[in-house]
Amino acid sequence: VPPAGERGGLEDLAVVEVGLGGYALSGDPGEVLAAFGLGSCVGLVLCQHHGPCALAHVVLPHARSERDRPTRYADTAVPFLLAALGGGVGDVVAYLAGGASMFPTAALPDIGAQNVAVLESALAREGVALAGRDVGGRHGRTLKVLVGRREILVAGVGSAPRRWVVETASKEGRA
Amino acid sequence: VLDEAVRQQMAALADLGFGESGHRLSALLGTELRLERTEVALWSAEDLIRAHGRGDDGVVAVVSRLTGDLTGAVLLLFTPASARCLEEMLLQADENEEMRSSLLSEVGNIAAGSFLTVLGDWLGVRLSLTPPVAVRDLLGAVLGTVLPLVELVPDRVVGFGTNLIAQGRPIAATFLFLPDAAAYARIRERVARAAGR
Repeated sequence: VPPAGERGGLEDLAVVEVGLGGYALSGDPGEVLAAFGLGSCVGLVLCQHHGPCALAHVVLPHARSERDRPTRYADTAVPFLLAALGGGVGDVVAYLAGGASMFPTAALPDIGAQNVAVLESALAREGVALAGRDVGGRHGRTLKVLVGRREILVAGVGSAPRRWVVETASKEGRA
Repeated sequence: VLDEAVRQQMAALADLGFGESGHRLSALLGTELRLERTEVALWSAEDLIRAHGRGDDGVVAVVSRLTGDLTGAVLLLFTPASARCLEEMLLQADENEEMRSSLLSEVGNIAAGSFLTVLGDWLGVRLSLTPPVAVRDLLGAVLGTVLPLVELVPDRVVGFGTNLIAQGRPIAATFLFLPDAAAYARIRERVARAAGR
């Protein structure tokens, strides 16, 4: 199967932009969920094997109060998205992209690595399989979830694009 | 968080600081460079991204961290075209990438340094900057990384922003001074005291 980008037709799809701290959930085959320009932020994708996908644009590792948006923080995004998707954790797979260390010499804290570590711990704690990760490095990325094609595309600055096809088998059924 | 009287006082202070930055930049680079149209506002990251384009648009950014008695960040953002334009004005055509990044870092350093000298004198505090780092990356990636570190309340930063004018031509560039919550509280208190509030 050629990559979606080479097949064309993406212009016919409706792009749902997920901004910082936001999330979107879709089972509409005509939609693309997109997080444009992830730096230290992480795009967290949860997809049901045969159902909708959700994308959260995670900004910081830890929530500071219960009033904060749950998808803004790595420690609250996973349980929130799982609840929004519904179904059991065995029916869900996860993908992560982002978490770069954008300014390693500017004396800024490495939030990207912290975001990734907290998200991976949260996924493990919830028992969600992590099927793909494209994290770290020094540059930004853009993440798109093609809901109808069940594909996830990651385009990074100065790196080869990544493409994952959402697994359709349950955890037990995967090789 | 940012009432009108305080905003106006801060804008006047920023004008003074940016004016000094323009003089120093012009003197050092041997060409007329000005910083103008100061805006002091409470922004969300999304506001700032929209004001400059889309999250996956390319950007050339110079980033420094504010240290000393007040903490925060300083950002100078250029579109790739405006960075190229400035480089063409000020450098030989065959200069390498390192030299081009160095020029933009120096512009950021001077713009920030002069502004901070004025601000520090007025506040009576010691301010310093980490060495500037220039990156060519995605707009959303740069702003999404820096802004959460200096936000006042979730998803809101207070920013002092200005545009750059070179040799009478506007350059699509924005200089942002972003104090963190503690620094902003101190500036606000001093501004309010000066205004007799």
